[in-house]
Amino acid sequence: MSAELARFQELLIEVLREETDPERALDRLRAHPDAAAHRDWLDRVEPRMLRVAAGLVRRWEVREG
Amino acid sequence: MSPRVGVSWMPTAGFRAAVEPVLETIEAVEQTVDQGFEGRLPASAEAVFTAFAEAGQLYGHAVGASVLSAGREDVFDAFLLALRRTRRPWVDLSDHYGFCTAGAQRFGAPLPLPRHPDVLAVGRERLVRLREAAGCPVGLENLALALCAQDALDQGPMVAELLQAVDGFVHLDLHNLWCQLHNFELDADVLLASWPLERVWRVHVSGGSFVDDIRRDTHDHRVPDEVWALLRTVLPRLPACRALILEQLPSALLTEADQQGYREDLALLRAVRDEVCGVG
Repeated sequence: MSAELARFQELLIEVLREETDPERALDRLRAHPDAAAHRDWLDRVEPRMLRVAAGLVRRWEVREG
Repeated sequence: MSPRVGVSWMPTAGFRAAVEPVLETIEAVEQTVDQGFEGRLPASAEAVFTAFAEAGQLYGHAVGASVLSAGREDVFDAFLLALRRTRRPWVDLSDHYGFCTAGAQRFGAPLPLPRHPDVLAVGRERLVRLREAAGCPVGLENLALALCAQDALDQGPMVAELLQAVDGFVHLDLHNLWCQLHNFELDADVLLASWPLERVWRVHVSGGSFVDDIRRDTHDHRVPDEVWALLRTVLPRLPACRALILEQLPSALLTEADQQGYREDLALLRAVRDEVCGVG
């Protein structure tokens, strides 16, 4: 169960750092099998707030390598 | 017992200049524990932390535990190791609700998650390990960021469920709460009722900024009137509150005017505490 959640968290971060358009980010997340358990939540997510989250990810991320 | 009035201590010259004239009035200090992981802190910060620890008024705050992360066990293990190595006699230790490590990312801004049993299971397990490494009670600070109104309303109940595993405390950031009230046009009574206020041991007051009419917890401005009003409303409902902490980024304390404003906010925090709690 935590492996499934870990995959979802990784997906969320990767999509947020890659997509500048929040609607496209939401579409990608909804379509991905690793987000299947959280589709109801994704349906409630507001694009304007997802844009904020994406900005935060890009501003503060520290990555390997 | 009335809550102590204190500051989130930043190991920088600008912060030091801001607090130096009012050092004697500070009743509690919050240490951002991650700042001590990479090397030595300035001697002035070491002296302050030692003095407040000896007085039983040093509070720990972390930013890197990532309590809701399901992966990157290696990063969490390294965090716990560093915490053990640099441990001080904190009254208690908080970190943020949310997750900030996953995949290739080993640090970042905390992000919210849906209310889901897997999230709760992961968080409970990490909180138990965090408490063991910290050697003191642990708690969670509310996050400003919510991705929808339901996220904001779910956060309090989720934190309450998570904290049951460690008999932990809520670290209530009033500016973060106000961000959610503004961003989702929520009713303050409704949002406050979703939080276990009897578990609040520590409060943050801070400032922030608007970006496209979205309120953000940027900690780069003085405490706004709305947060002072919220403090007056909520403080009488926090019977277990031990400390009221003023939080501001050192990058926003570079000019004499900023530093004076910070001192005025600290004085106002004390005045509100005295007024609401009948001190003095």
